[in-house]
Amino acid sequence: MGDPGNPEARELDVPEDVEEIFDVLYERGMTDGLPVIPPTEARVKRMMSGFSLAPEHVLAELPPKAGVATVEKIAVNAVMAGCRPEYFPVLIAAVEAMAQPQFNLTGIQTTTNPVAPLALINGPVRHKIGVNCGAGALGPGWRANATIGRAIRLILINIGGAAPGEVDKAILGMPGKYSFCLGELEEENPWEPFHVEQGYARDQSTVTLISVQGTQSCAASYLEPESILKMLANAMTAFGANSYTKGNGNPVVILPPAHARIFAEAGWDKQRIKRELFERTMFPRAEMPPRLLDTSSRQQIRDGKICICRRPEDIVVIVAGGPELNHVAFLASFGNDLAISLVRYC
Amino acid sequence: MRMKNAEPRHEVLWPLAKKAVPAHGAAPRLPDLSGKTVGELWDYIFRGDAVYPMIRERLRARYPGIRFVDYCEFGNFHGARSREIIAGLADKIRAHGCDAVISGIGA
Repeated sequence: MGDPGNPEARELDVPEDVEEIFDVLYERGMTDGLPVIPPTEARVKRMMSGFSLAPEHVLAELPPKAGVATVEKIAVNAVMAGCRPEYFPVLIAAVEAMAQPQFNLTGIQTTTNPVAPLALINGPVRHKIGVNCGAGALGPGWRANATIGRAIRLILINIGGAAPGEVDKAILGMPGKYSFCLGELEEENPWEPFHVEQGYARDQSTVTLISVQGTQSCAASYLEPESILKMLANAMTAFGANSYTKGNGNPVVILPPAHARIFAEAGWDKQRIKRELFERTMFPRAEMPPRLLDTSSRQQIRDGKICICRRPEDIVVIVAGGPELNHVAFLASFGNDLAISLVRYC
Repeated sequence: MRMKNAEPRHEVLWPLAKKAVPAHGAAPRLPDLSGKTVGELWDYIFRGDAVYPMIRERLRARYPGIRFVDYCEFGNFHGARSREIIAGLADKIRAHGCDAVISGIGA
């Protein structure tokens, strides 16, 4: 048995009762506040069983604690989150992606902003593990989406050391900090899917991490691209979104398939949508209150107007969601530093 | 599963991770900042440019001969280049002859 007071111990002695186990782990700050699956050695071994790297293999150091993310530690948190073993490679890829310096995980883990990493899954792995890309893809009811997203959060807390309210200084946080994961509905995407746009083959599977502030639904029951764009641009133009003051990041637009088809059938490609949204979301700098709290402002200014991000191609456009021609979604970017989306093969 | 104190127990694996870097305790507090050199560290967020001049003014009034090394000398240790900047920070602090540094200004 390991010393339960020693965070470097391998094992923790707990009661048998699952509610009591949850109490012990919760009181030690090792959960997200929801019940967890007890990470017994047998379960953790099963989680790693289809994975070739050794349990002690170090995949990354996660800030701000500089926690050593070994395969085994990731597996322990995956078990707690309720992941199935077949999800594990996706989770490993997500951890590697988050640890890249340009993702600015230190900022994401410690900021007052409610930012959370959104995990976007592309490629054949979506079907293999049952990732929901359609109706309710960002909602409840799908184990792969729910538990992969949740495992990412537990890893950020337990390995990265982002204890909510202590190290994680989010003023309010947001529900996406529990779990934030979806797949792209590539089969109903009239354009190339996101990972292909990034240079990967269609038959490769990828995980992309994007730092976003939450979801803004936008009712856009229109049959013309112009009307949909007008509604979207209006929803996106929020002075207080971080990317307007930081001048960077990746705003995300999620088009359900019916909306995507309207654009495609009218001859629009994703690049045109991005250019139009970039132009339409600019607003005169004079409209912004003059003195921001954060003097590090690196606003992108063009012709006296503030831009939503650095350049049109930084806007991410993906296809996901249910079949109805109703709600599109916008996810505002953390916008800080090079919060560029990352892609890793898995 | 095993029995301990007549209650059934079992073991789970610890979800926390070791730190990649050893933890160091803070250096002993300086008894007096008079005549000392103080470095300024800023992550270029939340008005350090406004706060540091106030700190300098207050400390100069209280500690004769205190000298400051401006935050510009150390660079922004937050963001995409943070690892690189932080890796060189100790050498920079030594090179400037700092007896103490101020850090941790936040929201």
